Amino acid sequence: MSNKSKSSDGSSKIKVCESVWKKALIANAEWPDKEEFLDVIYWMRQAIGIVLGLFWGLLPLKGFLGLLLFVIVNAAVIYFYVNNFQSIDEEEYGGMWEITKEGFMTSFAGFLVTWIIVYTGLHIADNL
Amino acid sequence: MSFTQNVIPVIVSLCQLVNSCRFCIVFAQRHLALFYLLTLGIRFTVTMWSDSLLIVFISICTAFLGEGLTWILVYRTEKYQKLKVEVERQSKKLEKRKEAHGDSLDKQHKKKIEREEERLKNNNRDLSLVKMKSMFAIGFAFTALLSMFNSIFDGRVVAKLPFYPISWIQGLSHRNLPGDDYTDCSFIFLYILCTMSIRQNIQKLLGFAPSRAASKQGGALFGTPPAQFK
Repeated sequence: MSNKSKSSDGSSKIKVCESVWKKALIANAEWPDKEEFLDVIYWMRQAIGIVLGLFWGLLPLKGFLGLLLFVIVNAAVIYFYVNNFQSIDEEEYGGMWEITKEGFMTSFAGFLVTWIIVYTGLHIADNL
Repeated sequence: MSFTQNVIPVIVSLCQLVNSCRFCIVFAQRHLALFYLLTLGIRFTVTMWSDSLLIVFISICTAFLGEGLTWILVYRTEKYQKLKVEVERQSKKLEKRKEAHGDSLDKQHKKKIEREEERLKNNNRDLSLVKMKSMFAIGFAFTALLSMFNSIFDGRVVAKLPFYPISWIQGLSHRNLPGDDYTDCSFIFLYILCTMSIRQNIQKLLGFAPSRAASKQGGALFGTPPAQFK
């Protein structure tokens, strides 16, 4: 019995996740639950961090420029997503700063790790 | 007669076995040395990368281990679950109330909010007390683990930084490394970065991260109080 309820819980969770991601891709979707929207922003940030880290490592981009570009691209993507794609009233979430802050440090750390590792693996090994 | 007939072939086969073993050992020694020399060049280039990948793997493992231990010692206990639900409920309620009556200077509302803040504070304190004991135990275990890894990777450049770190980070990124090339990355710097990103994501994925409302209220309680409630 408990197993059944557990599995139904799990499947409902997956369904909720799916619907959230579908909603995230639809323009001007309704977001009654603030937490859901902030979660979408959080995970989007992580993905952007890793993808940018991969690109910067492959190019390779070096120095302060790489860090600055990451911050600009990351903030710009989220800003356009929130303002232009979803048309969210930022005051509901405590201002744009709160949304810009959401998951930034984690995504920055993820970006640095991927950038450093890809750069080391592809461009340093050749020189030795 | 029968004894010599039986023993001599055994001795002969034993000698043959020893001989073939010796041949095998000599063969392996020569060829392994050759193999070692051939791969030496490749090894130098691969070591740094394999070290950095190993560090990522280590931090994934320690993050799961840490979360697993915390789950066993804290998250699954009834007391923690009850307190967590309570704190979340209260902080959401408080946030809503503050939003609704934030600007009003009504004394009654103010008092109510203050009383709820006090209750939330107490619950938060209880929650951190529940966490504290096991966190200490896990903290000690992880410090020991970290010092072990630190001694394994001591003096080894595990990665090259694609940027020049600013002076107050150099102490971490160039810890225990020889030379003045500050783009060399030490174990501890990469490990901290990995832990920052991986552990937090795992916590969030497993649903162990504290909710935003609770951490926001917690921050307000431990930091400076908002101006309107002074």
